[in-house]
Amino acid sequence: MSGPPRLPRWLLHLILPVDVREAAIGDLEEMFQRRVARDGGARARLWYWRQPAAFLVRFVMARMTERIVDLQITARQLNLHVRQGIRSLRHTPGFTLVTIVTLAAGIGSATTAFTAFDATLLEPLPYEAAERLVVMAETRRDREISVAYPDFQDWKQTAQSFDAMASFRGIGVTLTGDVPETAAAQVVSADLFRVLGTPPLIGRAFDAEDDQRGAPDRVILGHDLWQRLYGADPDVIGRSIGIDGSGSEIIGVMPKSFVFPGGLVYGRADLYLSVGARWIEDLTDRDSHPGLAVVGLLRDGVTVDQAREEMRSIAAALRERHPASNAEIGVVMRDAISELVGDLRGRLETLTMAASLLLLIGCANVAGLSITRALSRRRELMIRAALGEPRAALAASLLVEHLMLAAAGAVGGVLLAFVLTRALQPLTTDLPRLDGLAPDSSALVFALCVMVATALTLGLLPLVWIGRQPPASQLGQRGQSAQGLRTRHALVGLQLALAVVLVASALMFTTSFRRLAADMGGIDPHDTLTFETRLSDEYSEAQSIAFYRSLYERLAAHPGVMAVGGISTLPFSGAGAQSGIGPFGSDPASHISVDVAVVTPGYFEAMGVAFVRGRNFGPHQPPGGQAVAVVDERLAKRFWPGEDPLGKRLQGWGFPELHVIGVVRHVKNYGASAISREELYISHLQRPTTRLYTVVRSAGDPAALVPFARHAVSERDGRQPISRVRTMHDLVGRTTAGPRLVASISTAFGIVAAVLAIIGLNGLVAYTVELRRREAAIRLALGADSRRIVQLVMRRVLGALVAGSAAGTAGAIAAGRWLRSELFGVSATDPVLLGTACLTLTAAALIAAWLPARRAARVPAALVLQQD
Amino acid sequence: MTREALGEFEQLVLLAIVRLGENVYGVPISEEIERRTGRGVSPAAVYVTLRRLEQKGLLSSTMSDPTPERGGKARRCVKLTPAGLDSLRASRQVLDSMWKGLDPELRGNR
Repeated sequence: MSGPPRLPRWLLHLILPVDVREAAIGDLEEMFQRRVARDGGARARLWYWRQPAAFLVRFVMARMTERIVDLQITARQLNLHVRQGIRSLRHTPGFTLVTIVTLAAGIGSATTAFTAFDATLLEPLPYEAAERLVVMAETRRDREISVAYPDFQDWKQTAQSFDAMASFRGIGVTLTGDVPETAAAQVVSADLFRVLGTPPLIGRAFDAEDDQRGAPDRVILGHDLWQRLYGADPDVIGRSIGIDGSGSEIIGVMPKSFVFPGGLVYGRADLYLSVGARWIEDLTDRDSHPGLAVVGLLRDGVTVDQAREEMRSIAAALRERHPASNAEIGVVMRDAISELVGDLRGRLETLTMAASLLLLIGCANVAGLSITRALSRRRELMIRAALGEPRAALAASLLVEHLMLAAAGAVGGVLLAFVLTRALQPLTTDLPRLDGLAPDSSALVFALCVMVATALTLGLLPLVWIGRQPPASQLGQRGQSAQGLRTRHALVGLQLALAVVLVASALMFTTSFRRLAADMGGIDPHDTLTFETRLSDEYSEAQSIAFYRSLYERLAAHPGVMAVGGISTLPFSGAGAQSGIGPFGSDPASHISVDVAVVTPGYFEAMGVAFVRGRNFGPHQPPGGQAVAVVDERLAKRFWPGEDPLGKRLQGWGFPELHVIGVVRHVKNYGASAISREELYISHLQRPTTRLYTVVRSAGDPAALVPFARHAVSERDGRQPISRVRTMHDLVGRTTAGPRLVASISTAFGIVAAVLAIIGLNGLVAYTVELRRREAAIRLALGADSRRIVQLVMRRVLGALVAGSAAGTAGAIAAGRWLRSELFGVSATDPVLLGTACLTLTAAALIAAWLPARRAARVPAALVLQQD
Repeated sequence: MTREALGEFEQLVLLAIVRLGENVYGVPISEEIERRTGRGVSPAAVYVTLRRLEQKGLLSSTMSDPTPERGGKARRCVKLTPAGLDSLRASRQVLDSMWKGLDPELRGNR
């Protein structure tokens, strides 16, 4: 007689619980033998093979049912803890309320900071291989400039680190339909859509032919424009759309999810044109940097650093091969998120740090309150322990209590985060990736994590602390142990220190923002309206001059207009044009990159740019066709230090000789806190351009002039729209949006920190005094002066406050050093700021401590003693 | 009634144990139920039920000496506890009271 098969037998060994293993395997063996006798060996073996699976399923199911029963028991205990917790929290409403509010403030600000951080830095870009995208630019003497097209083509051919590389530059176009309108276009090389990993929704992308000079006019529409102009008609492919007066064939439409360049760098586009069809002469000139940006898709496995290293060596090779143009040209590369977010990253890190400090203050505050409360409940806890409640159950009870507090705080915090992000929205519309900011699921998860961490820390802290006390002393004693006081004084000191850091930082940011906002960067932005006009290519130079002269005469005739003028690149708009300029006769290799602009004579007055010396451009060409220029004071000082710049000569920007006729104030073209270059202005008469930004200085509200300006333009050319209608005030405000956001949030944080610290201190002192009332009453009864009692309490508090504010001041100086790059015109060690933060908080803290101390000293001694 | 009601299979197992009397273990229980109900019984179901009934205190068990026909394994012999007997009676009463007074035709065997 043979035994059952071995493998299932061994499996049964593994599966069965020890207590039934032997008996069950024995029974199965017995049954197997009977089955062999009854049904034959084969069927018996088959039956035996099925047993391990049957036992496994049955026992696992049974185990699960037991688990559910276990859980029900835990749930019953939990229910008990919760009810106990609610009862005890209701017993101390002040504690409960302050704790919840404190935690809500901490969790709310942390969640808000996290939301902004997440939206900006953690959320992936809207492209397929976003983490492999890098953005590149060139540098000249460490100043970043746009890329020369021949350099880009060399990069594309030589670089091994990339799967593909594409160039793009933004231009404005006029859609010449029934009602002409302007649109933002990107002129892109054919590989762009491959680099970004997004094919058109319908139709096709550009191909190699479209990169060739003179390629046919083809256009790929953005989704919005397709919907707006063609009602999302899928048959739009092959149709013609009028762009800048000539017909372009529509070859594709991008999907709605495709955001470019907004998803990658700042900006937007309604449609995409090919490099070949929009060829400009600058593309053949290695010395010309016509606003091109380059995006590359890294080969799989290549790091940004490796690619950067390769690009540097390519740039070095180009320097050697083309010394005339590339002698000073380098290359910079950034991952796409850094490119898009720019200096917002540092600001967000700062805010997140500040929010963490705030949360820490909140926790210190609640920890202090919790210990205080735990001490006052010592007797209760000890009695519960003495009555046989296990320590684990006590811990669970305290934990559940704090979990409830933290949960209430978290709910309040998330609500607060919604309110805060909503309140911040007007401040974030000008910042990349922060549009429509609101807490999302990852922010909620974050809040949840903070909540659990807070509950664990706070719930266990008093337990650990109480555990260290000998039980006898706890049941018998009523007074205050020195250790409890020390811990809580340390907590108060810590809170004050952190609050000083936050308040001082808030003051620094606010002062910095105020100085930034007050710095108008050399212009007068008040009451000025600006708009852009782009005349069609049919306009000759003379016609263009005539158009703008007539337009400006018409505008100036309006009684509400004080001055009017035009400029080719508007200050504070983020755009600029540069050219290499040097003194007449100097080596072109020594030329420096200067901001250049074409202006009409009225520009300086309309923009409020003051003349330092010399004169303005005249209304007519100078006699003899002599080329003249107005320069800013920085350029004058750089080229001719200590000399009179008037009558000096310059060369560059295609002019062999330029005579300086006037010097104006320097304008911070890229915002008050950004680096700016020397500036050179040429008269529109000498270099007529079809596109100008018109600047109108008005006597009243500049917005009221918009209809009049629109009418004046269409009077002269009915096909001509005006676009980018803005006030200079808005543009200047936009450059301070980041600092303004930081200043507002840090101010809010500073106020909350101060309030929390004061509440914490007030609570602590009130409680300390409460505990020492007996002692105070006896002293009073024995004839002590009530002032002495106050002094006694205050002396201890004062020590904590002095230590705290000293540590806080040191912390604030360290923070200011760390934040230096974010600050404008403020020093980290500014004694007035530090003194204000430190003294105000300390004074407020002293009052908060003194009030309850005085109250205690006033209570009649007999009353206190009777109570016991 | 604070005591949990017995499931059908639990009742079958307990009744089989009562019927078999002495020296009851897994194999005879399975056979008894199969013979009387005419349906196949999985040894795994019997074992899980025995273990649960023992955990509830409705039966007790002792290990016998190992025998060679079982591959040298011992038997686990089970016996009803007074509580087991009580809960069996209670289950019967519940069923009886539900049946009482019902139409004799419904009660008739089919």
